[in-house]
Amino acid sequence: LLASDEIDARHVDAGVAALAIRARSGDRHAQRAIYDRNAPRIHRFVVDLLRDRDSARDAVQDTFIRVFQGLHALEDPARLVGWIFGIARRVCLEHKRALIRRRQDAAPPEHAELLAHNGPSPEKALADAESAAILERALDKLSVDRRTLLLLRCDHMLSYEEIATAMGFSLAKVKVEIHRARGLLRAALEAEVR
Amino acid sequence: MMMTCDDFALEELVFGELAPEAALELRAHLGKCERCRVEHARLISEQALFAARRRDSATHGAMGPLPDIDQILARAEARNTFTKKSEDGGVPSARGLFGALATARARVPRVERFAIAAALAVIAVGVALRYRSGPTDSAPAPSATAAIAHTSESRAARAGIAPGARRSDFVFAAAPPTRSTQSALSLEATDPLPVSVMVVDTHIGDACEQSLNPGTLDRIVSSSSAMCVPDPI
Repeated sequence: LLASDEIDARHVDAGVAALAIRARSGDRHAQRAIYDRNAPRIHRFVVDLLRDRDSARDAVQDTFIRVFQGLHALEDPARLVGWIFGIARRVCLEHKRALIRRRQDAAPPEHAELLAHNGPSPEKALADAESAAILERALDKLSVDRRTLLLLRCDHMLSYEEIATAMGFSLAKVKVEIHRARGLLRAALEAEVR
Repeated sequence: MMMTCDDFALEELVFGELAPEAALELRAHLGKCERCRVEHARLISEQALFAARRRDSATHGAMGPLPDIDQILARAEARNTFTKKSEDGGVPSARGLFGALATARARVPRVERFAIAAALAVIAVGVALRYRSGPTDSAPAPSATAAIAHTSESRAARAGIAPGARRSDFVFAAAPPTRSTQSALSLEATDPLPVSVMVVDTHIGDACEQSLNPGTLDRIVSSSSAMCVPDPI
């Protein structure tokens, strides 16, 4: 079910605490490693929350400026990933408010041309696009918090503990809310495919 | 031992988070429990949708390029240097002050935060009512708007700001204070009105508008690296 590289990535995170400790002592290699490992998924996360590619790029930049500025304040280095997602979430809320102030439409991300090489087959790409569109519409019917919880769990595959750190919720609340969100998503998906 | 149905364990199985022994036990349970088999299948099909969504994003190149890491590290370093300089001088910078307030907020339990917010709201209503009801003697009562205008104008006059300037026409920049600016912004202790200020970090070029109570504003001005200048806008 899960791609082997995704499972590997989760196991690699076990060494993330050591990386965080090195990074906060000023080790540039460790700082770059944190960025390289996390920036792509944080980018995807903020695109999902903001639906605006330009704002998303700014949000990623703001997120990592705050990450490297505040690393010394991270009490538990093992929680680095959840902490970064939490910062990204707060940055997105700020950017969203700014977007609303500027009265910009929260348009869905524009899709560039299909990559002609190194991608899946056209049939597979089409199936993925259809599945993605159905899921997207179902996710849109959830509240922002529940949508965020499901994305953190099912898309970014964070553990419950990491999600609790990112959202500032208790572990029990995260479990209950994800369970509820999943139920709502199922109902929305059923409505979509009917 | 008879295993009971556990949706969270099923999810952990699908996510590959379950320990090998527990996974083995749960798989054995799946062979006997129709309900858990159905739930397991639903979780798998939902994860397949999310996987398709991830592939779709990657295929369509919807993400675009990432920001430059060198620029990010340089900006983070500049901010840390600015904060450290402020702290070394024993002076809270405006940014440091907001950070301290944010930290304090995080440490106060949510229930107590509500209680504090409610108390502040009651005080604000009381102040507003005081201005609305006015004194009991024969002199005409100043309206809240007039009171604001009066306070704003006296502050502006003392700060050397032209009459008619907006209440947000105060800019704090990271620069040495002068005696005149300190005294110019020494506010009345009884003034309950929040003051809108533009806080500028000249080292980074970032600016944000903040609403401060006069006590906080006074502390920043009298103690720090802050300077008051009229907002050119």
